[in-house]
This record gives sequence, C-alpha cells and structure tokens, in this order.
Amino acid sequence: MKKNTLSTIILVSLFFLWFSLPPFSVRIPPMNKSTTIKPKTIRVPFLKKEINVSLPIRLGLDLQGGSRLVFLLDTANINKENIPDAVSAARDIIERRINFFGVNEPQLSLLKGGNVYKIAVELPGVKDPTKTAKTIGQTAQLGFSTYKEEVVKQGTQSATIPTFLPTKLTGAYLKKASLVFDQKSGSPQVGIQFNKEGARLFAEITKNNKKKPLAIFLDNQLLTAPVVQDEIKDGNAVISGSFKVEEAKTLVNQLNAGALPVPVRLLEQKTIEPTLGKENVQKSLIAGVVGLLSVVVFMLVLYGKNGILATISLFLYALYSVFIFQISGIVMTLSGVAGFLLSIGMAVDSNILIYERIKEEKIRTKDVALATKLGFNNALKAIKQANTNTLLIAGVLFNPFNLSFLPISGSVRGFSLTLAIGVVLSLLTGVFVVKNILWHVYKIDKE
Amino acid sequence: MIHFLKHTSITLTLSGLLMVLGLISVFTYGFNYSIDFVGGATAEFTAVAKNEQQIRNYVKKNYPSATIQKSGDNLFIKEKNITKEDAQKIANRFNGVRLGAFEIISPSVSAENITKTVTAFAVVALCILLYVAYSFSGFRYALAAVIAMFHDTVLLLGAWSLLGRFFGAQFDILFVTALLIIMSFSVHDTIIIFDKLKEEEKSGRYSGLEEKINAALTLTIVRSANTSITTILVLASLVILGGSATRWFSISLLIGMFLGTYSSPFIAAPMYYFLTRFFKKRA
Repeated sequence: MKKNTLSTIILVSLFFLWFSLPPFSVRIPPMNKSTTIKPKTIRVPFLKKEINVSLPIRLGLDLQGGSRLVFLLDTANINKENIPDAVSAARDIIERRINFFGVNEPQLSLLKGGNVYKIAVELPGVKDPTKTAKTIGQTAQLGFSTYKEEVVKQGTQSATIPTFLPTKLTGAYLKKASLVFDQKSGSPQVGIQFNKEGARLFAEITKNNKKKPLAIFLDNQLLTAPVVQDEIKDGNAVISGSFKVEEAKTLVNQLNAGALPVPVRLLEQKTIEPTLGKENVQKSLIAGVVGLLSVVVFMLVLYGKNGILATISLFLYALYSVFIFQISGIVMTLSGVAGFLLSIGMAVDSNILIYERIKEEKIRTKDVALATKLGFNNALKAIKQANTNTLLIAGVLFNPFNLSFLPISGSVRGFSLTLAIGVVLSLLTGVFVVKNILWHVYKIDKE
Repeated sequence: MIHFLKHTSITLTLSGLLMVLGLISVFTYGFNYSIDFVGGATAEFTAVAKNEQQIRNYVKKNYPSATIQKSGDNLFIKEKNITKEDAQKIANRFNGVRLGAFEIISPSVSAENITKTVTAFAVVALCILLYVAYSFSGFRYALAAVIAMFHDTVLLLGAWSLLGRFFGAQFDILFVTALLIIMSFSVHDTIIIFDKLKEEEKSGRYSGLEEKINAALTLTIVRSANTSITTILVLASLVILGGSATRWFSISLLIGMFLGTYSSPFIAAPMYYFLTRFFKKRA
C-alpha cells in the first residue's frame, strides 16, 4: 500500500516534469538517430485529435505585454451634458464584455484629448486582436419593430410598401440572454428574457400584432422577422437567425454585457511590451531564483537529511504549480506571482513546523521512527488550521458567487486564485508527499 | 523558558506609539497614489529607435513613477504629473523624436472598485474572527489574532504613507496585493503560536496563564525565526537584485513579513493574556 502511493507520486512527478519541458530531441550515440523525447503535440489514436503538450504559461500585461486597442467613441449624437455618463457606461460595458470573453486581467483606460474620447484596451497575449476588437467594439443594440404594409395609390395603380415601425422595446429591457438550441433542427438560437417592464411591452406588442411578423434588428440590421402566433406574457423569446454556434455565443455575451450607448470605432491596434519592462522581469526572475536557492541552502544547513526532503518537496511544489498554470491557462501577473511566492513561504513553513516538532519529540524519545511519526502528527493540526484560514481568505477575495459588494475581477481575484492553488499544492507536496517519504524511510507502518 | 510577557509593556507601548504616528502620517500626508487611482496622461514618442535608452533614462530620472512601454518604433509614457508642454520638451531634447498622441487618462481603478476592495478587507477580517473563534473554540483567541492583524495593517499603511512622502513609494495595485498578503501571513503566524498555546493549556504542565504563554512562545520561537529567515532571504534578494519596477513591492512585503512575525508573540499573545484576565475579572 505505502509503496504504491510513493511510486504513484514518483510517476506523476516524472510526468509533470516531462510536461513542463519545452519540446526537444536527443541524439543517442549508438542509434545515431534523433529521438524526440518531448514532442509539441501528441496524437490520440481513437479520438483522432492532436493534443498540445507544450503549453506555455500565460503571462499578464505586466510580465509579457500584449496588444493595445484604442477605440474612438462617437459622441456626436449625444447631448453634451450626457457625454461623461455615456463614456463611463461604455467603458464599463467594454470591460464586462472582455471579462465575458474570458480574457483575464485586461487594462482599460479612458483617454481624453480635447473633446475627443477614446478607450484604450490592453489585453495580455491575445493572438488575434482583430477578432477581439470586433466583438468588443460592436454596439449590439437590439431593436424590435412591427411590420406594416402601406398601400400607396398612384393613379389606377396601387402598390403595397412594407415598412418596419420601431417599437419602444429595445435591448435595454433585457434581463438575460442565453444560448439555446432548436429542439427540432438543433440549430443554435439566442434565448432572451425581458425584465418586468420589457415583458409588459412585449406582451402589448405581441397582443396587437397577432399573425403579423415582428422584426428583430441588431445594430439596424435585420436579424429575423418571425410571425407572432399569440400574445406572449412571460417575457421570453427566442431569436432564430441563421447563426453559427460561435456567432450565437458572441451575441449572447454582447447582449448580457449590455449595448454600448455610443458607437465605437477601432482607431489603432498595436503590440506592446511588458509594462514592467523586459529587463525588470528578467532581473526579478534571477533574484527570485537566487532567493529560493538560498532558502534551499538554509534548509540543508538547518535540518540535514530532512533538509534534502524539504528541498525535494519544494521542487515538487514548483513542478506541480507549473503544470497547473500550464493546463489551466490562468494568466499570471505580478500579483499572481506574489500569491504564489506567499504560498511557497507557507510551504516552507509547513516543512519547518514538521521538522521542529520532530526535533522536539526526539528529545523525549530515542526511537527516531516514533519521534518522526509523533512530530509529524503534532504539526499537522497547526498546519491544517493555518492553511484553512488562508484558503478562507482566498475564498472571500475570489468571490466565487460574484457577490456584488465584493470585487469581481482584476488583480485581487488573480492573486486569490494563485494563492488558493498554492496553498492546496503546498499541502500536497509539503505534507502528503513528505509524509509518504518519511514513512518509507523510517519504515513506519500505516494504520 | 524565555520570559516573553515581561517585556509586554515596552512592546505594546512601542507598537501603540508607532500606530499613532502611522495614523497621523496617513491623515496628514495621505498616500502617494499611483496613476491607477488618480489618473494622469499618456504621451507617445515616435521614431525613438536611436535614442531609446537615453529617453528611458531621462524619463526615469525626472519622472520616477512613470511607466515606459515600447511598441514598435514608439515609446508610450504613462505618468501622473506630466503636461503636454513637459512631454514636448522631452521630445525636443532628442533629435528626430516627435511627440505623437498626448492624452489625459482617467483612473483605471474606479471608485466602485475601491469601495468593493475595502469591503473585502472587512469581510476577510470578520471571516478570520469567526474561523479562529470556531477552530480554537475561544473568542479571545480570535479577537487577539485580529487585533494583531489590524496592528500589522495599520503599521504597514503608516510606513507606506511616510515612505511615499519622503522616498516616493507609490500606493498602487501591487501595494493592495501586499496588504492582502500581510493580512494572510499575520494570521497564519498567529494561528501556529496559538495552536501551541492551546496544547499547553490542555497538557496542564503549568498552572499560570503567564507561564503557559511563555512556554508556548519559547517552543515556537525557533520555528518563527526560521520561517522569517527563509522569507526574508527570498524578499531581500528581490529587493537587492530584482528589477526597479518591483523593488517597492518587495520592500512592502519585507516590512509586512517582519511585522507579521513580530506581532504574533509580541501583540497577539499579550492581547490574549489581557483579554483572558479581563474576562475572568468580570466573570
């Protein structure tokens, strides 16, 4: 049993080590042929899919740079006194859209030059900024119009001219949009739910326009014009334009984030260097490595044999974290790295606690195995309590339920996420792995 | 056994004085807020290829809080206190460099987000209070831990106000992160010590509360010292060897870690002692 756990840990660690390496090949002399040890992708036979096994860690604007998009706000059709409100509303909506699209840690700033308002959006490491620019820059104004045929008579000839009359109902009355699929054809649709006032308007419109088409416009373009069958009182509707899944998803996100109060136009698009500066990032990286190495030396001097164990657990801690950051795609900013550093500190602390307790027990008993076991178990309670507390703090700061009075985005959330991951991993490597190795070395039986 | 509580009056007086000093500084000098909080301007310098390093050096020297970003052949400067005239002067100093767009930039951190973050601090304090009270089944432990955390936070804020006033340390988003780290670390450290104290109370080796606390502190002092040394090793190398952009952040963490380590035996433990005596007298 105990041997199995230890071998599993070793195997998993080796896999993580392999996964974290960049792609490389080795020339083995007798074969004289280049052997790929780490490929870029792996083909899974039965799924017929290429899986990327060389994922880079995604870094934030401050560490890696990204792209900078500048949007011009067209405030021409807005009353002067309403401009500041419209501009800040536009900023909030763009920020919400970016968050919906899953780009983490963007930076938005409002620029003002004379009477011209612009919004600069900086996105970390976005590969295709043109597409992002399009989705965040669309006005997404939803409109509903009733259909009317006007009969125009000219002499003896008469013609019917179809016209659309815009109603009061717009996207502003939306409570929620969602992606739904047609039950028969399976094609993607956008389900919308109006708020109270919107539902009332919608009921009125559908009541007065039975058996007539109701046109739905997005940014003044006709999406679809279904025929109203009956009055709809519950304020739910489905837009079934000929969407692709991707398009429907984008529209849902845009509608949920709200329509932009003013049209925006992309002015410029540039790639930018890290805000902290390349040099700075490199220097700090070296400094961090020097710091960690001195910790290793310190632990070796202080705890001898157990110091080696502490070093191993720290190394595994770093390895596991890299793996998690690679596969999760979490964007690491300096705040995130700080959360990570703090959890390294706590991982070292767990180790120190354990070895100090073991030392304490060794004074009482000569039996090293017994002292190890007792010391470890005594330290465990304090470690558990202290780390639960830290997880609790990370939980509040991450705000998983999106409580409106707590921060829901930005660096605080990034920090809390890396902190929580770090704490869990430090418990895994600093306590669970160390326990298994100690139990193996001192041949302690597991009950 | 080291007699920790003997020096309580000195440490508590010292901490109290420093807290008052820090608060005075916060209320009179305030903070040196970064561009994220107060806004500023961005200036774009075009065709900098030849003079890039000189421009960087010049800007760094005259506007220490500015961020400089390169994009293609242009340099973006973001700075709180820069006027269009200033930016034009910079461009004029270097041959061939022109001032491109110059724009006023509004704060990137909205007032709403500041309120939310402050609320988050309060919620965190409340959660810690409840959790420590629950896991140690004693409200006095919880109160003492939160008082120590409050002490660390106030002292760090005070130190930051003074450093901002005299050395240009900025109150930026990274400093908010540092505050969060220090809050977590402070309580982490206190819990470890209280765990030992709880054990002493259970074991009944000593009868007096003072001896129990002293015994617990003596037994955990080596661990506290070792943990501090390891964090100080990492942070000191970041302060000395790390890039200038992260130096102040590392300094804030260094101060905070020191406070967190100091406050557990010298604030949290005596507070527990006084709270216990206070409630016993009233009972």
